[in-house]
Amino acid sequence: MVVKTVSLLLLFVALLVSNTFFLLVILVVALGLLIARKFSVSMFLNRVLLLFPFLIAISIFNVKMFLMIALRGVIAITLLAVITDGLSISSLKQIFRALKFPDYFSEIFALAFRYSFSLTEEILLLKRCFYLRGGFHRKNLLHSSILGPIVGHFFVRTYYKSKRIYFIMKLRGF
Amino acid sequence: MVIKIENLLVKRKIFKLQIDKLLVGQSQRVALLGHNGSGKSTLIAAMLNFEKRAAGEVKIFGHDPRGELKKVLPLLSYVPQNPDEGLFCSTVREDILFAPHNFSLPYTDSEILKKVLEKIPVVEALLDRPPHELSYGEKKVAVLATALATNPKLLIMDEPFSMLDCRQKDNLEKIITLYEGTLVIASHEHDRVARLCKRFLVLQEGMVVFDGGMDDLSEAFF
Repeated sequence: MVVKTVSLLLLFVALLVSNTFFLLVILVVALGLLIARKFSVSMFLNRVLLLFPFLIAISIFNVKMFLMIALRGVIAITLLAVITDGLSISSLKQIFRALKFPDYFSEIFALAFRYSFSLTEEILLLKRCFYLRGGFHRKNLLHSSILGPIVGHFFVRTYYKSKRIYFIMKLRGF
Repeated sequence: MVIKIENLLVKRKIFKLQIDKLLVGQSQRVALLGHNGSGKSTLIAAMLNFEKRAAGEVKIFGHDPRGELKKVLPLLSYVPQNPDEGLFCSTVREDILFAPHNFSLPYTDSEILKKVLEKIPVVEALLDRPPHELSYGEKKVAVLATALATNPKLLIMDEPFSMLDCRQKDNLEKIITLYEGTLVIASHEHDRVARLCKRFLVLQEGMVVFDGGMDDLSEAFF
């Protein structure tokens, strides 16, 4: 509990502070806490890697902004991993309510958590089909004629899926 | 009349759904049959206002879902073909209680869960599990439980038996058999819907080509 409280405080400080040195210190402390909790390195790295496409999209033209956001992003992922370790999503929702977060925040968080698994499944299915059809034997994987339609198709599917989910939630009175 | 459809027209790029008249009465059990792309899911979507109508009238319990869907929501439940689309809470228990809470039904959580478990006892083992940990069959059962939680007068099901093994299909069929309200079920499982329903609507290329009982269906198509 003490570790989780310290992590939460560090997270707030990291969001407010803009000094690079202090942020690096917070990152080292956060990584130390993560290692002490024996968190899986590969799971942590996967989460960090998921962040980078969004970072590049936000700050592609400004290297300093990219480094600052990347540093804060990695700190946030590290500390959130420590805070949420061992907690169920229902417990997290209760914590958000106790901290007087707006209800829609905890609902959106819970929904995002729930559908991150569906999203991962879709990506794995696409990857599997791509692999089974010899996709990874191609010489230039980054060619837009290969990846463009795959990524586009993925976004179209997720858009229509989210539309249907929204309708069903409306049918249940949301 | 539970469902009343007149002169319905739903247009898509290369497909048109045209229903001149469709009436479904209280406690009727109607099966929607037809090949892939015949318009079964589109008809269900038009009933629930998922799809925009180009023309025509749809009334559910006397209300048009286009403007008055909120009035009929507590009376109907929809079971989607993909159960992932119908399970959006952190646990199955929360999903079951989602609609009753939203509609402020006058029952406690334990009363609602007790009624659901009477109809679907196997859900008890799934209550505290997150949806992403369930198998496909378990998700299908869980989403049906969420639909039955409000004790709906009208149950609309889109391909409930798809991608299930025989045993799970048998279990699902038993649960649907016990449902007492009005049922509209789109399915390719002709044998099962023949046992579940008394009225059959066959769709072909967006139009109803047959509307009648089992004997007439056998004469017309077999």
